[in-house]
Amino acid sequence: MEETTSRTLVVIMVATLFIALFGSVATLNKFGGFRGLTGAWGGPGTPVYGAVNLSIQTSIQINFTDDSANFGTGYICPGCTEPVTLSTEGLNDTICNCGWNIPNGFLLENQGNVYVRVNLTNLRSSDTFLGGTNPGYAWKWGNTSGVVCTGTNPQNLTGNITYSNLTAAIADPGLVLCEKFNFTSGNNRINISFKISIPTTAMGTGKNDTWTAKAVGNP
Amino acid sequence: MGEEVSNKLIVILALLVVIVVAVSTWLTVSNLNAIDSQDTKTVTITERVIEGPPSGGRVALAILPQPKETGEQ
Repeated sequence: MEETTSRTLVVIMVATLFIALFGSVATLNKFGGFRGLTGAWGGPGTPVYGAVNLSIQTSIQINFTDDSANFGTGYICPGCTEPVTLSTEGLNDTICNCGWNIPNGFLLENQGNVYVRVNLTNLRSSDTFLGGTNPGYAWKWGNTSGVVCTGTNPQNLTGNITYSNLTAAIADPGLVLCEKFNFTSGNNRINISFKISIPTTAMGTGKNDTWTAKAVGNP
Repeated sequence: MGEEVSNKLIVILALLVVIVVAVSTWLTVSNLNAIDSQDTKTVTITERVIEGPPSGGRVALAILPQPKETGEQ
């Protein structure tokens, strides 16, 4: 009886010894720990753990890819006494418009790789742009498709859907057109449309207005 | 039944087990500590911002004087 117990103990101990040895070897292999035994651990050529060099390039780039709304040259047809109203969305006065064409509006694109806040300014109001009695110079903007504009300001979420007459120029720093202008493909374009109402009393001359869009990163 | 196993052998084996377990535990713990205390866990993030110029657009038209109606009395 005593002999059997002793033998069992020996078998258990030998098994334990092998299990412990195997566990140690396996664990040390995982950690590369045998180098510690050879003195290599921490010496020259020791791998550098967790060193990460990360370079992020942020490009803030917006661009009017369609930057001209030129109605051309024309006059109010003889016999017409009402203002001629035209818009870049296709509105035309076929009776009283003699010569002006219907251009496209502006197309503003976020070509960078980050959301940006867009501020818009211009130089002229309806009075200083067209002149005459009760001139009309209005603008509006909208999405072409997708989720173009997000942000905390609700008025900027869906775009300005009605024309807004420019009773005064939009001076610097400008109007926040879009709090977070998307940069992802298909969601990065804003249309800006114009409507003009040319009174019969407008001075016959060339008229120009310049719009400027500035972007600041707003990730 | 068979040969008797001496008490000496049992004691030696027991000591061996204790030594192996102790050494392996020490090695494992020291390796874990070495990994934890690596000073070289360096994360360097370099952000380079390229800012484009403002973009501009132009609205234009030219108004000619309204011609006088012909045949006006």
